[in-house]
Amino acid sequence: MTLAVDYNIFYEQKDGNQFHQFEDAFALAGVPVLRIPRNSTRGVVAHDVKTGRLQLPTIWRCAVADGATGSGFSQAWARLLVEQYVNSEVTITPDLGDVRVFIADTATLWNQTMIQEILRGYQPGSMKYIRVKNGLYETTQAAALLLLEVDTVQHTWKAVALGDTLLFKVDGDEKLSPDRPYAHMTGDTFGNNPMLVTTNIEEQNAIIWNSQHFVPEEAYARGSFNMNTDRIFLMTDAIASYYLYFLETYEPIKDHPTREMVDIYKLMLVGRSEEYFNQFVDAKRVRESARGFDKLKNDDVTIMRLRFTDAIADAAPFQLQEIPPLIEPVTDQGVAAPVDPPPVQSAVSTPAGRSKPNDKFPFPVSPSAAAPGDTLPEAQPETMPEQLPPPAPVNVSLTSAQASGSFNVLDDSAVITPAPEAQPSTISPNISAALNSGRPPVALENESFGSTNNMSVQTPAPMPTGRPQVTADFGDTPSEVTVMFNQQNAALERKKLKQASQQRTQQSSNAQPIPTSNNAATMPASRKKARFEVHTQSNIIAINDEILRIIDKVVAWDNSNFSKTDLQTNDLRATVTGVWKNFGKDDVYKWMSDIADSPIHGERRKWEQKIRAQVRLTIEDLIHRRASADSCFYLLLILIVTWDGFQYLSGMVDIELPTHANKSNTDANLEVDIKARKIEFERLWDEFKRSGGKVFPEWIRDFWKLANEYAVGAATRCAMMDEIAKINLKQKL
Amino acid sequence: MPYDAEISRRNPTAFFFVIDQSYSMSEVVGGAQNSKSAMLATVVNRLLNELFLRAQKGDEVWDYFDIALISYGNDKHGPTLVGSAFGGPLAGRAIVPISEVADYPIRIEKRKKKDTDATGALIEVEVEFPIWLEPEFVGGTPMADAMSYAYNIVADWVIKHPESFPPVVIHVTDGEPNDGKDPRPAAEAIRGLATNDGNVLMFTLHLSKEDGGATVFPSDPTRLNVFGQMLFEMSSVMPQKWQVMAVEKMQVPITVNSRAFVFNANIEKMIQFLEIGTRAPGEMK
Repeated sequence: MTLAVDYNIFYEQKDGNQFHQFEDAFALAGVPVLRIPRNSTRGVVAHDVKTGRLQLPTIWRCAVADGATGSGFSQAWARLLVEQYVNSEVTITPDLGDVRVFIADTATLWNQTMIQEILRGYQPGSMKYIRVKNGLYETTQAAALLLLEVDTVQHTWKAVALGDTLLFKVDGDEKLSPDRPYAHMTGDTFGNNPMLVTTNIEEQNAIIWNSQHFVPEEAYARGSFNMNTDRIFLMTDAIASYYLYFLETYEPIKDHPTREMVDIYKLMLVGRSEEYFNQFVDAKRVRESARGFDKLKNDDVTIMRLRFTDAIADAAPFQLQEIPPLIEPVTDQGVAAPVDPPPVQSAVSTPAGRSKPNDKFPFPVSPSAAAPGDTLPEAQPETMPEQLPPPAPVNVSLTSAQASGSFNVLDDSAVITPAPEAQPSTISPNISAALNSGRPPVALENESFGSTNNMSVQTPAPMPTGRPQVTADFGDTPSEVTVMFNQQNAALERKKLKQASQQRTQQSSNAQPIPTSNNAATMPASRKKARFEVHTQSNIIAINDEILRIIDKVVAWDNSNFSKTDLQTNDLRATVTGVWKNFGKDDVYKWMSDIADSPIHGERRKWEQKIRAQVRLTIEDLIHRRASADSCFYLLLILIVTWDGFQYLSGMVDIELPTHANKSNTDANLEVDIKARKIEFERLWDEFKRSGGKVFPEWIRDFWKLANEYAVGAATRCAMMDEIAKINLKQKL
Repeated sequence: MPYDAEISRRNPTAFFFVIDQSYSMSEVVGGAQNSKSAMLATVVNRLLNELFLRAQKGDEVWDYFDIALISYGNDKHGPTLVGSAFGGPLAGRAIVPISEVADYPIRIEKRKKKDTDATGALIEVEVEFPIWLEPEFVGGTPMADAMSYAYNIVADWVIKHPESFPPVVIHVTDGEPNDGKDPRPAAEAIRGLATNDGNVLMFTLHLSKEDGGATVFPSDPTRLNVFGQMLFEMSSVMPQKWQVMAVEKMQVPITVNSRAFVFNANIEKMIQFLEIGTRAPGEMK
């Protein structure tokens, strides 16, 4: 053994799905495989399943797969493929001969053995058994598959990609390899590759091996790597497509990288934490929803990052792992009793000899780890992680009613000691911690997403009364950590958090000021950011005030035209304000906190849908009152822009501030935009009247679309952000 | 673009089967040995089986679809002769999420199915076949009342699911209404309902005892008889996204004015038509 690998797997399930419904799969020879028990949280996955340093044999294999959404057992099929591969001796050759045999053998294994094994988990004769059986026998499972074979003596690699998956390599100089593998894959064509690996061998032959469209040379790639510097990435389709888009769009103009490019650059190349990745994905999906940036589609996401090193002394020894059952046997309600007892999941255990949960994060994140020749140099020096000052060792206190302890940022470890009066039985095995963003300016600028980041940490169960080790993967972010407990203590903890937050707000104004408009003005315009936390009642009120001010501002932008509508400015303002306030009338604090603090994208969308539903009702009311279309249009416009503003103010999205050149023409752009929209809108309105109201559903839909396009249009955003940039909310507080 | 919404558990879509169970459904359907009612029940049961398999992830069924089974002509529904055709634990329920449909068929039948073994040889295997719709045929054809009944359920569903892919109403009949009422206004009202993604679609299937002479997706009603013209008017214009599927499946020319309607369908056309009707082009998430 002369070589070890540092591996990190970042993954997140599709928005709206539960964690155990994650349908991507990954496996690395010698690493415990991923198993996610039903209804579990991320904390259940052992540290060494996703991160570690491992000694390697002469030939080493790893793989990722993406189970197709349309097939009911694609998760199990994807797992079977990657886990069989990494434990095999399949050799990847340019003609893919061995790979073809391997896939056929795995399909046979599925059809002749795995189906029966899966069915053994269910009570024969039960409805669930019949459903599962019909699903297994009557549907074909499919997955995209990416296999990697590494020669640790020659320092070479070979890969095969079937379906929409992507491998790429970044050299030690942080540049993409000139001989980029899979260069024929582009952001445009990605997502439409039908050559999936299926359980039906005949179908497999037809869509891949015997297909005239299949070119083995395009699925095959090979290359070499340098120890300690080069990195290899394996991705499933959603994130690969997103990455390719920005690569193709911005690589030629690296001198002016966009915010998105910087984000993904940081994510890929620097030792970012799992927490950062999840926030990254959530944020990109939020953008998709709120702004029409259709770049990171809502799908399962997986990135496997590998770096080979000769530092084998602290690497775990190589040992092939046992593969547990593909599907967790059913135990619920006695509907289908499992025949075998539930197995011990290697994913949640730490085998002897493997790295401990509190082992040091394998990728050094200090500036010394960065190689010279960064591809994103002078343009944005303050944003590049390599140029940040090294994070100081920070020991953060953990305090709560039930426990105390400390958290070390650099080695990602924490210890928690239950308070003497705490009852161990009341402490949840899964402690969730809130990562508060009351952090120094440099960290605020570096950390991009969310005012509050939720994470979970794994402890032994039940919670011992001694000093249990708690792992926390925070990457390089200096942070305050507040421990929260299970539901019984949640109300108490929320109250304490609120009080602590208010105290922090006061302290931060003296000790560590978050960038204000004054110091933000010293940065390049394209990197200015404003971020506010939604933690306190006074903050909420301040934001509400600001929203009302924005409403006035938007109305004033087109006041000359607006005055021609049959509703007076003040009437409309009152209506808009009423609608806006109406959402939070019962409990403003809870309402805004729910939206802004929710880590779940779906929750935000739910609120957005509520707001949109209310807008629609209001418009219908206006129509009923025979208010003019103009009035409806402006009402929509204002509400959408307001929603935009709220998201920004509450830190749900980051918005680029315009360049100076754009800003100078903001008002003119806006006016032109409004006039163009109005012409189109009047055409729709005429059509509506001519039809006697019969085209209403279509009309309202087109109307909404136009208004939405308008609201998220560049001109509006420029003007909006120009105004918001002048706000110094912190000073108001 | 209408009919573009993704189908998700948050925003499911719905299929409303409105099924004629009048006495004339006891006639043999063209091209088959069994009655129209029996063949229709088999096809609908198979479709429901396929729908839940499409929604099944592992052993969980995700609620991508809501299902309504409405039958009319059957005096078990009381004086209105219209009501839910669900039986067993779902009896009386107007609309049911697909996960519950999957778990609560009326019964399971053992049926023979042709399959191939590992060597490729044709074999007959026994499969479990869930039954949700029983073949029944009694009484008259109160089509207008059935449409009104369906309207109320569809309207309620649409209000609750404004962001969803629009529901599809699949009306299967074999005879003229004999209650003296015109079903067209109610059908038009159903088609007038909409989510933000488009109007509700009305697919109409007319079964024949003849094997041949079917009129598939007509765009011109003048060649149909009076009854055919009435069903034509009740049906939706086939949206573009279904047109491609229809051409591929049924190998017939489609025009922009083609209606989602088959007149005088035999067993083969019935199966193809119902598969098209239940294959919403929205992407499932």
